Amino acid sequence: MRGFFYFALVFCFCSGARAQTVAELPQIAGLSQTLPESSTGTPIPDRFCNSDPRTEVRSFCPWLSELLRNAQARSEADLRNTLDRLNPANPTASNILIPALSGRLALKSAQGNLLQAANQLRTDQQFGPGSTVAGTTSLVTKAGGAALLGLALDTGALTRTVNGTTATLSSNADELFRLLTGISPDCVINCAEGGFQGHVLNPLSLFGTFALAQSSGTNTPTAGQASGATATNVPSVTIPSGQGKLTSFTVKYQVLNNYDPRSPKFQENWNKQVETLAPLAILEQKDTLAVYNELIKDSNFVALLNNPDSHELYMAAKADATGGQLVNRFEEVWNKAMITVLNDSNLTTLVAAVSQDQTVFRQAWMNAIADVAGTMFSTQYTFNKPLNQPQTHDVTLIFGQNFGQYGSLTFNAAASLYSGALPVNANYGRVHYSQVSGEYDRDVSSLQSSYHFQINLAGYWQYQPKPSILNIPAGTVAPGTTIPIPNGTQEFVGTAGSLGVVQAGLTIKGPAGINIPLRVSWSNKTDLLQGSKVGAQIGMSYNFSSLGGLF
Amino acid sequence: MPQANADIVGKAGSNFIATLDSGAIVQAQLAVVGQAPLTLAIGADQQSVTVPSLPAGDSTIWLALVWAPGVPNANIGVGTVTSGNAQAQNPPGIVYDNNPVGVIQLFGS
Repeated sequence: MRGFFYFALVFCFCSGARAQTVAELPQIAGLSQTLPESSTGTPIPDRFCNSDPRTEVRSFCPWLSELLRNAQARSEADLRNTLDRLNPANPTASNILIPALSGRLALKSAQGNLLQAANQLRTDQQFGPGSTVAGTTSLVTKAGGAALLGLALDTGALTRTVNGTTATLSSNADELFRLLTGISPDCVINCAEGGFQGHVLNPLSLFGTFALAQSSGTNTPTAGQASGATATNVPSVTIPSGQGKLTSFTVKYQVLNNYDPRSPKFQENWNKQVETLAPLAILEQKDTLAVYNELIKDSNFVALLNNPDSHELYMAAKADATGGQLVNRFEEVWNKAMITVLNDSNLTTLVAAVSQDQTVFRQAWMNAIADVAGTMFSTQYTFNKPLNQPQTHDVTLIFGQNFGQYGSLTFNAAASLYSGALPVNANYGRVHYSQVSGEYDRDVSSLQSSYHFQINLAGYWQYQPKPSILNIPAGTVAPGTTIPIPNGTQEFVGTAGSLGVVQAGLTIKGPAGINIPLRVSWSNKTDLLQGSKVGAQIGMSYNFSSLGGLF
Repeated sequence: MPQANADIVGKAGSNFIATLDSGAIVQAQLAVVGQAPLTLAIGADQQSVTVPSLPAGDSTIWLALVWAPGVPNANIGVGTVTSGNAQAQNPPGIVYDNNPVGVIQLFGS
């Protein structure tokens, strides 16, 4: 995970270098055509303001950037729309002002809590590891991932003989990127997130699974015998370096069905979604107007509304191409408007309501697109490091279909290949196994309920051309002797052929983002042993949507 | 707010239709400082609202909108003027497609 955070931060700096307003696509993978330049979305924020420590500067950064880019070539009158949005007291700036106020009033945690509640209704999210890990509750991998950051603790085994306990950290790359960089804080929908952010980071989820019951160790040479009369040659020892070992790393990419938003079929289906989204849009409009009505009770705020500093901002942008003067001038404007209004005790509640409306609307809008676009398809790669078994590369195709109140179906098809060079004279090939599986999930609680109960039924079939392989490490003493095996070896264990598992369970989803999956399973055999096995799996995962409040 | 900052300028008391060229308006409210907001009639195309009587001075139409993915930002215009007069600014005001709340600023002289 540390590597991923580093990756996200590095990308932040690269992205900041973009200086053009380009035709941006919505953040949905699969959108097939670009749109005319500057016709959609907000402008792209520039480096001179997008990492400014002041919340208000970052919130208004797209518009500061737009003004700076155009001030040299265009007249003040031509830039009226941009200048209006840089006046915090202008009603057209309310969409930008509210995230800025929200940051000032430290309201993001409320927003995160609501997002968390919305996430708890979903049946398509995966928090824990896949079926072949020792320490899992999931027979089938779901198409979706954590909205921001998830932590799952799972215990039990499905296809493995050995029970395990794992901790899995998962994250969506784009949400993490937005959180860390603060890009597009005012953007609720149709966000200007084209290119790498929109098409690579947004559909990407990352999972790291750590086996808690396995210790990791480091080989180190010894420095000589410390005691004992008889000389014993111990050239190296393994020193425990930690409890908990990375056993798998997964990258998942979600793809919606390819769609063209301008096609008549898409528009016909989208029109049906307008009815669903309308009440949420109306609520946000009503709450935004309430904020504005509160703001205009303040005389300093109204003074800026009646006498905007548009000309001064324009001149500052024209005079200094670095943006330094513009940011300083804007800060003066902001302070002028906000000097007293932030002391209004009613404002906190009113702004919090709009922040929550925006979060709910964004989630509903994304769900509406998923409904119109149709089936969700994901592809997943996992690097697996099971204990005392060869490392594998696993590729899984995930196909999900949501039937709304009737539940959802998820199908997996996967192949697992042994990693690295095969040993000389190996009696097995590159293919470890292939598998297909399916799961039905349905929320059986009412929408208004604080706790949600989801039933889960799953089936899994795996075909393995050769029995499982067990690594016998170097230094292991051969049975019945005191002779250590110098170079290690590999042994077949278990049987080749079919492995089937069926599983039934219940997932309890709490209001604070906590999920508790409870499962029972039956399998005709396990990876290392013949004979059927009945097992139980239990886990706990936490969806850290409210981490948004930390930044 | 100065007249130059309004999206639509007209004679106070005018009856006209304000239009957008994209998005779907699901609610429109005319707000004047110190008065209760007035809900406006929305056209069947969901891209027009009727202003029955343009208030004198500053007023604002607050819109609740639903945007399809990838649609362009909306330009503000004036449709049929039933009485009085009303003109859209040049260049036209814009309602951006990144938020379900939009604003049209009016000025009645």
